[in-house]
Amino acid sequence: MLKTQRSGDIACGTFLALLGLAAAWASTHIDEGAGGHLHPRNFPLLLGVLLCIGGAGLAVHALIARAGADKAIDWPDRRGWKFWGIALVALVLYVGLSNPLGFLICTFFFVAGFIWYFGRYNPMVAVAWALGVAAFVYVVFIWLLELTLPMGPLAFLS
Amino acid sequence: MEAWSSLLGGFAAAISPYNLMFALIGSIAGTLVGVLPGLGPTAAIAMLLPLASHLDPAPAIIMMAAIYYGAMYGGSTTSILVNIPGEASSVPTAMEGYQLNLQGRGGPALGISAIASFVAGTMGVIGLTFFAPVLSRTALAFGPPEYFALTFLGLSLVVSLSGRDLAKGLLSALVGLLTAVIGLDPLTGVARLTFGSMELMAGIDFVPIIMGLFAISEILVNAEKETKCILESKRIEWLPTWQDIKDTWAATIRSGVIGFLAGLIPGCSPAVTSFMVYDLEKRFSKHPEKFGHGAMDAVAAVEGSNNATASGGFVPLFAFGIPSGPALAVLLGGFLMYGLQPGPRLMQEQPALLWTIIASMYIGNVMLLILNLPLVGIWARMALIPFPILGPVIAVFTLIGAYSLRHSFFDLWICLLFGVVGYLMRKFEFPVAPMVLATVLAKLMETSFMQSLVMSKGSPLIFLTRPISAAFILLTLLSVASGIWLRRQAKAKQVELEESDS
Repeated sequence: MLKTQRSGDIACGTFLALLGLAAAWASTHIDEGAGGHLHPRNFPLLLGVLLCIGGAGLAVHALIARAGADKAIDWPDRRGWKFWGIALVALVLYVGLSNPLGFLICTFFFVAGFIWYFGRYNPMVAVAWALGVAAFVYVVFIWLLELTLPMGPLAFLS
Repeated sequence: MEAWSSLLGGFAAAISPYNLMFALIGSIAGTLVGVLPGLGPTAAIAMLLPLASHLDPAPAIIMMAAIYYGAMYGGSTTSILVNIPGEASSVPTAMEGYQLNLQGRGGPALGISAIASFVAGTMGVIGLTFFAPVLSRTALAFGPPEYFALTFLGLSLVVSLSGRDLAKGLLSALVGLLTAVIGLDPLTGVARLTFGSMELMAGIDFVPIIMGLFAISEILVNAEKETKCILESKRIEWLPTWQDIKDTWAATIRSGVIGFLAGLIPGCSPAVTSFMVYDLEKRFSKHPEKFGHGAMDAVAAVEGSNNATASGGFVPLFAFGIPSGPALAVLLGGFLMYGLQPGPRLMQEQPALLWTIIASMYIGNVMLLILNLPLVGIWARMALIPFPILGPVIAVFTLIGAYSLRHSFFDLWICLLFGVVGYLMRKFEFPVAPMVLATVLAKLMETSFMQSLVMSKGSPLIFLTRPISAAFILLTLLSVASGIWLRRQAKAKQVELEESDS
């Protein structure tokens, strides 16, 4: 499935055509502002239509011209997908948990976990790096630059 | 010449230890802020305003100005080392410099960008010193039609940024334009494509998009490949060679001039100039095929131009009190804090203050060169850190930087989303640069288009009847035509080569 650039182009072209269609449809629901003939819907509508035509063109060209039928897409193997998935899940958890737990705690666990899992280092090495990074984040972002970041239970530190 | 004596007077004041110290603080802070992805000089200047209020105007403004042009020095560091642009103006640097880094030439690239930044930045300050009054009058002739024509020209660069596939480049730019449209209409305030969501009404900022497309997708790519170390070979060069300097000096001088002239136009940010200069260098280069695979003169040109534009941006600020971009707008706030209104009156009433600041900009550029060059070796060594450690550290700094823009978690989710989008774009061979260019230019483009139509009462002929605007439109058509012609030539050459091989 989607092994060659040709099938990739067809898929992407179709997706973009649908995206353009959705954008064009959504644009027709935009209210009129006070601009008179300068309707705020014109620009997004134009973009949606162009995208739809362009996407369809790409898909059709790939279908007919068979361009790129011999070029394989560099998808990762099973193992690669596993690592990709874990990296993505780790990032999602980092962002998702930053509000309740605060950036410092999340940074610590994210960095430690990533280093330990992807690098196969001794857990102590991972923890040491994670502590270092968390401390750096604290010193530079919170103490030096005085950013207000969500701190979670460590709110007393800011 | 009057300018000379005023400048010398300014130097006398700028060399005072107190002012020197604040120039140094500003330079260091600017470099740091430029290096950290997501954080920009605007935020840094804004954060230091309360501190600055305790100081006299001269040292405070010296420091804030140093943060602004210092950030242009720092922005290239992460671009070259880990393919994460520190600022939008460093995106082309990331495209070329990172390739150089993978070839083990990250050190020379960092060195050349520091040297180019210094040379072009100083050229910009010289322009500021001597040519400001003459040139600022021309810059005032820029109205909405000229801005639209300028952004139109900028968008035409998509042709050259698209690499092999022009159609995909155009589609990429269209998607970029579409994401920029989401939010409130700039002229009428009507909500567009927001689907009733509060977050979408604030629009999608281009910084999380850029962070996602470059940093997060880079992490995903390296995770999937189980990269141990991002460098291809362990052999690393630390400093640029004389050959490098010989290769790049022409590009540096060119970018200094163009960057400064572009900086004179209020609203022309270093980001726009850097893409333009990148395109120009590609056309005039003796080896255009190197672009995209590590062209040192591209790095010099881009990094030089964003510093020259930063220096040029001070011209409208000092001459008329018009800020060229958000960072200078905050700097203007700094002036207002002291009850000073930059403009012709201030030039007459307090010339000493302005000349002190200008003089300190020369000193600041020297300080930044001294700060950045020796550190090149240390920065370049960062590339040796194994990816399992470097990756999460980059992710943390990127995400915190992206969060700090608007204190919005929505921006972080956008960042991750575009990380996945960027990953898929790499797999399906869609060029990323056109999307970035489109998101940067979209707002200005649409706003100036609408304003122009209001001015002309609906007639699109206004773009052709005004001379500067017509000139830009003509330039755009020439640029697109020559771009397509160059691609045809390159393709024909390639076909010839393949046929002669077989």
